[in-house]
Amino acid sequence: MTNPYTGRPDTAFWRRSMSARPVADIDPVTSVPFTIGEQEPVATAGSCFAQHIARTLVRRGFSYLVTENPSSEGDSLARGYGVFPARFGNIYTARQLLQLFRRAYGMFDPHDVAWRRPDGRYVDPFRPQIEPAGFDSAQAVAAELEVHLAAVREMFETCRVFIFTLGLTEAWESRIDGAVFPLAPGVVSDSQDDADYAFHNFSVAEVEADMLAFVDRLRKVNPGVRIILTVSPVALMATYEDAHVLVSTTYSKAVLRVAAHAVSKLRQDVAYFPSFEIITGPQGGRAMYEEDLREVRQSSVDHVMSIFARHFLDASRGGATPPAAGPAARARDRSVLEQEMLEAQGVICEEEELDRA
Amino acid sequence: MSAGSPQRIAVLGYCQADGLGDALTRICPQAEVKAWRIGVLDQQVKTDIAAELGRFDLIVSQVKDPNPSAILNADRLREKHRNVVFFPTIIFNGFQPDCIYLRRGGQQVVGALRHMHSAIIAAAFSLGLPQARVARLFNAATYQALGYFDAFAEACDFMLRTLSAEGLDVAPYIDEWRRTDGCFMYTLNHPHMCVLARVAHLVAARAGLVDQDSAVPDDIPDALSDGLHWPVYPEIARRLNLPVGPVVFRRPLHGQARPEEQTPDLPTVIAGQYATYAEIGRAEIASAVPKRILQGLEAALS
Repeated sequence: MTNPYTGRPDTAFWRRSMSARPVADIDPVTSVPFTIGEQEPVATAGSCFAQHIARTLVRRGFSYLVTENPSSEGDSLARGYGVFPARFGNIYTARQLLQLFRRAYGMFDPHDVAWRRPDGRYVDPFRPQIEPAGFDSAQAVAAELEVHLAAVREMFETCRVFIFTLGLTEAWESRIDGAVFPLAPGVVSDSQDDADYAFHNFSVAEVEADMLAFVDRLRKVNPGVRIILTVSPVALMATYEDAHVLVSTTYSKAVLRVAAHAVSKLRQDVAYFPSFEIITGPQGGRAMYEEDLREVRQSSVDHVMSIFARHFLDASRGGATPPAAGPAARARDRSVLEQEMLEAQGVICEEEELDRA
Repeated sequence: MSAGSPQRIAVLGYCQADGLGDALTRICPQAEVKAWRIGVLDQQVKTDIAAELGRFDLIVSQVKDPNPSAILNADRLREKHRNVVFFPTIIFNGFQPDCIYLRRGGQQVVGALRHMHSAIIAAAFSLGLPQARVARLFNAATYQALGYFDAFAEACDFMLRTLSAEGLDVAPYIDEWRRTDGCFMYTLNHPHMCVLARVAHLVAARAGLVDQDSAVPDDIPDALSDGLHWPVYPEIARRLNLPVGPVVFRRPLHGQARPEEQTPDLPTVIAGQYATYAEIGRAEIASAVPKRILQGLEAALS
């Protein structure tokens, strides 16, 4: 047998593509199955890191889709407007994403509609931080939900590209109906019955199955949508497993990475973008992170996003691909959105609530 | 029969008969046209009509009674009359695939929108879904699961096949109807006048009453426009490049609805249908809902 590695590209060899190159030149993306045109509405969702992708798209003049807008000006960013296309907050797990889709389309009607906070205000269990001041009542939460879910449907149906950042495998779910929440109920509310909730750490099989189910369902309402999966390089804030948080983080990211790979191989036009590898690979070391070794430095984010832009963003494509649907789809005025984005002082992250424990 | 001779045209049909009669009256101004809607007539009246048909030169019929020996069946009329043109009632559910009839024990169920029902609402009731959940089912995922996005192509195929089987080729005109009227159906069996007028013109041309290249009047009063208007759901409208509007129904103008009840929205229709079905019972409604809808919704919810 001849040496099968002979003739393979430099990127196939660690020494040529990693050891002998400056960090800034290391680009682990070898090919992409599609690019994003400037006029193509792009939606993002996922964990905290997904917000960086959203900001990059806006800054570079691409058409970032926003389907849920405030009825009045003001503290709209703090209230979750414009952070993602609709006000769903961070979506950490594949199950949460799948359930958001199923809730939006009336296929899942969770038992948990509103949680009461210690201050007597109410929050939406599936996006507890979108109204910092909380809601007056459970009814007010439910009323707001209808508007939100309509915006979620519009996002799913009108985006041409959907980018999802997988964040966590650890989650809290309802024992009643399996609803998965971004935060443990007790982190947000002191009025929920502990017996109704359980900790769950998703397996590779579960994440893969949930992602495949999501992709298949999304394509039923938006047949032409292209999907980019990424894995967040941000470590767990805390683990509920009887394990060191570093060990739990490694498990979680490994599961998500394997599932993302599987889904990108099993479905057409699903790309994997290696933001996780760019940040966590040995080429970067701790310089990629802030002092807490968890938050990713802005310079690292910029580096990741420059690689993303190099491969995926293609301004020359312009509006070659029309949006999936007509007038209801609207890309928000870039200047307004960009201004709001720039005003953001930090990424809004429900997970940070865990540190209050 | 030639264009110069006196012509007497009889039209027999159901809800489309008056519109066809109006169209033929305008298309053949020299003719005497009489239309009968026979759906609600008793047997004696039908017998009287059959006796009167002998004085007509042309009988245009949409009557296809399940009983082949029914006195006004087109096949039976052909035994006695030389010039009988049959074509079926025009059915086209491509714009409103959710609009169905429900039959229970051979009788139509009458509900919030009289004889017309939303298949989704009926299926949701059959599956035991709470009323509060039903409005959320009106979305693209449900429509996809129920095949509603394929309905337009299927409806075109069905209409073309059923009419061409009777020698009427409307294939060149579907795009024209979409251009002039957008959604050219009020409900699955109430076409806009542009459709009835074109079919009437084809019939008249085939009978030699008009030149086939003559213009079809576009200002014939449209009696069916007073009936129920079923909305094109937004997600379907987008796919068909139609204007997108709210899901609002319009009850028949000749009905008993008070002005404020004339245009019920979706929650109102859901409440009305659920109230009707509650009196009938889940099992009976479930047996009346098309299985493909029931199973499709059940699968979508799983």
